[in-house]
Amino acid sequence: MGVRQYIIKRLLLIIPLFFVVSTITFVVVRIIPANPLIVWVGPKATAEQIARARVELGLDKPLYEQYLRYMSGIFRGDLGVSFSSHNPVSSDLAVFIPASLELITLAMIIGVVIGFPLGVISAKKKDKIEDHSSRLMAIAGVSLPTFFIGMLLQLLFFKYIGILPAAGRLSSYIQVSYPITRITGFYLIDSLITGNLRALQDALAHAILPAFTLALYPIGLVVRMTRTCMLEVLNEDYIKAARANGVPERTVLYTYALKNAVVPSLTTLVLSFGYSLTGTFLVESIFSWPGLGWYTSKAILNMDYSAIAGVTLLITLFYVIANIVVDVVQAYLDPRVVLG
Amino acid sequence: MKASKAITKVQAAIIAVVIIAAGVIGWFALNPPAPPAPKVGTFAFVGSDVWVYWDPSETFSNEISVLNSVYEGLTRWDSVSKTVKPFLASSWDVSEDALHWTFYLRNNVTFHCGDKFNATAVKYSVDRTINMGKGASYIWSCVDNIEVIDDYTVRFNLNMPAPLDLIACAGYCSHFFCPTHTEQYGTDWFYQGHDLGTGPYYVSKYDKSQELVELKKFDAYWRGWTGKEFDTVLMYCIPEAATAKMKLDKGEILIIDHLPFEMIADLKNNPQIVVEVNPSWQNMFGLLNTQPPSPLSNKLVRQALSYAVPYDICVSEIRHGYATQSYGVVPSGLLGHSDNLPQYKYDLTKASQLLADAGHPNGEGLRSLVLTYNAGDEDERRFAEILKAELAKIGVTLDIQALAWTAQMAKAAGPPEERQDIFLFYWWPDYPDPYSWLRSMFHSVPEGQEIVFECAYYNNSQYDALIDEAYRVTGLDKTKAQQLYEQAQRILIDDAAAVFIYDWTYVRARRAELKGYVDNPAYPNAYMLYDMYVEKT
Amino acid sequence: MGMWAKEFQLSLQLIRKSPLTLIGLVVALILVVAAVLAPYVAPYPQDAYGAASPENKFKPPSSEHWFGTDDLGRDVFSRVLIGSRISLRIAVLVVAIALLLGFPLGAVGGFLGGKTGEFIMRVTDIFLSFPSILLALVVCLLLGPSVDNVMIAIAISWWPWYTRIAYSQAVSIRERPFIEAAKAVGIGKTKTVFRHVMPNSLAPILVQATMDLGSVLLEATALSFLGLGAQPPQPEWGLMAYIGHGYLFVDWWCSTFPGLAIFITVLAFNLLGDGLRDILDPRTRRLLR
Repeated sequence: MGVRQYIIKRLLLIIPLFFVVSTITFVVVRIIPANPLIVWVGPKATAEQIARARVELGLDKPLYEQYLRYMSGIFRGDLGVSFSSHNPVSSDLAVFIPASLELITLAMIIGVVIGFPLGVISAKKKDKIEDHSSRLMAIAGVSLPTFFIGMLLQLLFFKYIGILPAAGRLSSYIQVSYPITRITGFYLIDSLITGNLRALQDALAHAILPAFTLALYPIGLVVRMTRTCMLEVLNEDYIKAARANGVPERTVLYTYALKNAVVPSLTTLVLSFGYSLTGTFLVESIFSWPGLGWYTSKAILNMDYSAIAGVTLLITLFYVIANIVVDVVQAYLDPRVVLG
Repeated sequence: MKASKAITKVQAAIIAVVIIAAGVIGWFALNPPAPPAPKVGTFAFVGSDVWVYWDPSETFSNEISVLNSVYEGLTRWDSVSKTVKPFLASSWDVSEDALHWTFYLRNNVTFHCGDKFNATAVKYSVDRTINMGKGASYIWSCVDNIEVIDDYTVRFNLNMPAPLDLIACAGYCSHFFCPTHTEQYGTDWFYQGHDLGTGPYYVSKYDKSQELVELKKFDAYWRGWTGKEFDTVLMYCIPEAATAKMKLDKGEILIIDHLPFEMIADLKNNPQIVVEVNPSWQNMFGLLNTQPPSPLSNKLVRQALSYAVPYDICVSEIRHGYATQSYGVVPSGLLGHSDNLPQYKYDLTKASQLLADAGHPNGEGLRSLVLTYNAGDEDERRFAEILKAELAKIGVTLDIQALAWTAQMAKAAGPPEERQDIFLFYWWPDYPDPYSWLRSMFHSVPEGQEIVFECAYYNNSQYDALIDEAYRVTGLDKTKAQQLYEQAQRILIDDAAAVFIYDWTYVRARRAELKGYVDNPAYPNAYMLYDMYVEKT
Repeated sequence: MGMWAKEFQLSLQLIRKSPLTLIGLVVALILVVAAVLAPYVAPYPQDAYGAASPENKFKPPSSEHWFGTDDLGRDVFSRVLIGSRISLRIAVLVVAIALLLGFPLGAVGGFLGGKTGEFIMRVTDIFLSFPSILLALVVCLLLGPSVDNVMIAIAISWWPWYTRIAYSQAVSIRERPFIEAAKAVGIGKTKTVFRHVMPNSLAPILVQATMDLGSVLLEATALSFLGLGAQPPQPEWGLMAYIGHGYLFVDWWCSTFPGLAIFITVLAFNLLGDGLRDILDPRTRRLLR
C-alpha cells in the first residue's frame, strides 16, 4: 500500500475515532456525581441562580438534545464555554497549549542532546563503570517523582544559589517593560523573532528548570533505547565482519550502530510526547507554568464539561497523529516494515 | 580519512554545545535582571483561578480583590470606626420607616471612559445588576424601584425596611459603571479585561494564562493624587505558596494575601517583612446532618460530637493561634454576634456520656460517619484528621473524604442515603450582615427546591421565623434584630446543628517598605491600592 | 520441569553478573520484607492509623523521630514504613489485574488474527487514545476517592499496554514451526494459546510488568496530588508527599522522606526490570548456555 494511501486511510479513521471518543467523554462526564453549575455561578450561589444557570447553559434539556448540540458544536469547531473561566474553550486552549508545547519541546531537545551521547557511551563501554553509571542515571531519571526533583531544583537554584527564577513563564517587570508580542505563543520564538533580547533571556531563565525536570524522563528513554538498539546491532555478524576487515571502531559505532538507534529512540520520544501533555501537570503545578496539563486537571476537578471535552479531543488528536507520523517514518526508514 | 572526520564531527559538536552553554550561563550571571521600577507595585495572591467574574453586575468571588480599586459604590465600610462611611454618595437621608433612601451624589466623579458619574448611572447599574440576577445581586432584593430625582440625587424605594447604606457598601455587585458604554460593549467585553469604573485604577491589561492583571493610574480620579501612589500596579496569582514566599523574600512582590503558617513563622524573623494580623469575618463550620438516615439525626449524638472537638488545639495547632473559637454562627464585629452565647468545650467524658445516653455506649451500633471537605484545603484536612483521632477515643469511626468542590456540593445535594454526615466549609458575608450565614446554612428548604448550602438539612420553623423577622427589622430597630439573632443562634447551638469551630484571623505578609496597608474584613482579600505606597526606610 | 530449573539457574548466574540488577533485586526484596514487618517494627505504629498529637508538630529528625514529625505530630518514619504496604499493594495489584486482563486478550487476538484480532486491536487503540491519567481521573471521580478505586482506575488504563505487547508477540510466534507442529498434531487453539504462545511471549511482558510496578506507583502519586486516591490520614507516600510539599522549604522532612521512598522503590523496580530485559534476552542466554 502506498504511503499516501496509508496516510489517508489512517487520517480517515480519525473521524470515527473522534466520534467514539467524544461520545464516551460526553457520557462519562455526565455520570460523574458533581455539580458543575456551582463553578459557573459562584461560591455563594443561591438555588434560583443555579436553576437559572442550568437553563442558560442548556443543561435542563433532555440528554439527546444536549448530545446533538455538543456533537454539532464539535464538528463546527465550537467547543463550548468553560464553566470556570467563562471563556470559550477554544480561546482558553489557544492560550494554554503553546505554553505546554514550548516546555515539552525544550525537554525533548534536552533529552536528545544529553540522551544520545550517554546512550552511545553506555553501549560502547558495555558492562564497564561508564555503562553502569549511565544506565543508573537514565533509570534514576525515569524513576524520580517529578514534583520531587522539581522542588529540589527550585531550592537549589532559586533559594540557595539564586541565579534562576522559581516559577512562572516571565517576570512581572518584563511583562510590563518589555512585553512580548504574541505571534506563535512560544515566548522563546516570539521574543527571538521580534529581537526582544531581554525578554528572551528572561523567558529562557524561567524555562530552564521546568524543562530540565521534564527532560529527565526523555533522557532516560533515549539512553536506554540507544543502548539497546546499538547493542542489538553490535552483536550482529556483519559487524564482526566489518571489524575483521579493519573498519575503524568509531565508524562501526557511529555509522552502523547509532543509525539503528536513531529511529526507535525518536519514535519513543514522539510517542511519549502524546502522553506528556497531561503528564506535565505536576511540573506545571510546581513551577506555576500555565499549560495544558494544569488546565486539564482543573477542568476535571471542576467538572467543566466543555473544557474536558475540548482537552480530550485535542489530546486524542495529537496522539493519533503522532502515531501515524511514527508509523510512516518507521516504514520509510526501515524497509522491512510494511505499511497497512 | 573517514575515521578522523568522524572524530572531529562529534568532538566539534560537543565543543560547540559546551561553548554555547558556557556562554548562556555567563550571560545570565553577568546580566542580573533589572530591579522593578519604583512606581510599580506588585501584589500577589496565592491560589489560582482567582479572578472569574469581570462583569461588575456579576461579581461574587475573589475578583473583588482587583475590582475594588477599579469600581466604587455609594458607601464604604470603615474597618477602624466599624461604621459605614460616605463614598460616591456624600450624604443620604432615610425615611422613618426605612423604606425610602435618598442619596446625594458627588459631582466631581468621572468614569474611566470619560463620561460623568451621575444619578442615571446609579439607577442604570443597580437595575442592570438586579435584572441579570447573577452574583451577589440578591443584596438588592429589598429594592422596589429607583428614582432619579436630579443629576446628583437618587432615591431608592424599598419593598421592605432594610439598611440600604450598609447594603450599598458591599464588596460585590454594588458598583457603578458607565451606562452608555456598558450597553455598547456588553458582558464579553468586560471578561476580556476591560472596565468602566470610577475607581483610582483602571484595567490596562489582563493576561489570563499568567493570571496577571495590570492596573494603571486614572489621572482624573475624584480623590486626587498626592504623587506617592503607584502609577502601575501588577496583581499576580501564584499557585504555589512556597514560590510566593520566595518572591516576597527577594522583594519581587510587595504583599501576599495568605501563606501556610509554617512559612509565616519563618517570615517573622525577616526584618524586611511585616506580618499583618487582622480579624476577619470568615469562619469554619462542620455542618451536621440532622436528618435520617444519618446517625447524627439524633441530637444527643450531635452534642456528643460537639464535645469531642478539641477547640483550643484546633486554634493553636491548625491556625497557630490565628483564630478564636466561634460563639455561634456570627463572627465578632457584626450585628448578631454575642460573646454570651454558649460554647461547647472539649470534654471527652461528657461526650462519652452523651453517646451512651443516645443508646450507643462507646460507639456501639453507630455506623462510621462520613466527613467531606474541599480537597486541597489544609486547615480543613487537619481538622478532619484531628476529629478522627478524637472520635476514635470515644469509639466512633470517622471516614474522611477529600472531594473537589463540585463533587462535595453534588454529594450534599444528592439522595439522603448518600449524603455526608459532616460537611466542612467556610463562610463569609457579602455585606456586613449576619443574615447570609443564618439563612443560607440553616433555613429550612421548601419541598422541591434545590439544596445548595443547607447541608445540615435543618428544618426548624421557629428558627426560620426568628431570622426572617430579624432581617425585616434590621433597617428599623438594630437592638431588636440583635436579640432575635441571638435567640436564633441559641437554638442552633442547643440543637448542635453544626460544629462551630473558629473565626479566622487574617494573616498576611508584606514588605516593610509598603505603607498604608489597612485590612478591611468587609472586603476580604481586597487591597485598597489607592491608600498604599512604597517608602524605603 | 528440569528445563525450567536450568533456565532459572542461568538467570541467577546472569543476575550475579550485573551489579545494577542485583541492587534492584536486593532493594526490592528489602522493601517487601519491610512492608511485611512494618506494623511490628515501626516505633509509633498508631501514628499510621489515625492518632494525632498536634502539639508535637514539625519536629525535625532526631533520635526519637528518625524522620521527624509531620503537621499533626505524627512520626514520619513509622508512616513511611507502614505506608510501604499501601504502595506495594497498589503496584502489585494494579499490574496483576492489568496483566490478567491484557495478556490473554492480546495473545488470543494475535494468535487468531483476522477479524477478531482486528477488533481487539481497535478496542485497545481506543483505550490507548485516552491519556492514562485522564482515564484514571475519570474513574476515580466516578467511584469516589480511595485507594481501592485508584487501583481500579489505573488498572483500567493500563491493560492495553500488555495487550499490545502480547499481540505482537503472538503474531510473530504463530509463524514458528513448533506452532505449526502443534496444529498438525491436533492441539486445540485454546490450549495452543495458553500452553505455547503465552509462555513463549512471557519475557517482554515480564520485563514490562516489572518496570510498570514503578510507573504505576508514580501514576498513583500523581493522582494523590490531585486529591484522588488515598484519603487522610492514610500514610500513603504520594499523599504524604503532596501534603508536605507545601512547606518543603521550612519543614523539608515531611515531603522529602516519602518522596525519597517513592524514588527508591521505583528505582529498584526499574533496575530490576531493565536487568531482566538483558537476562531474558534469548541471545545472551544462548551465549552462556
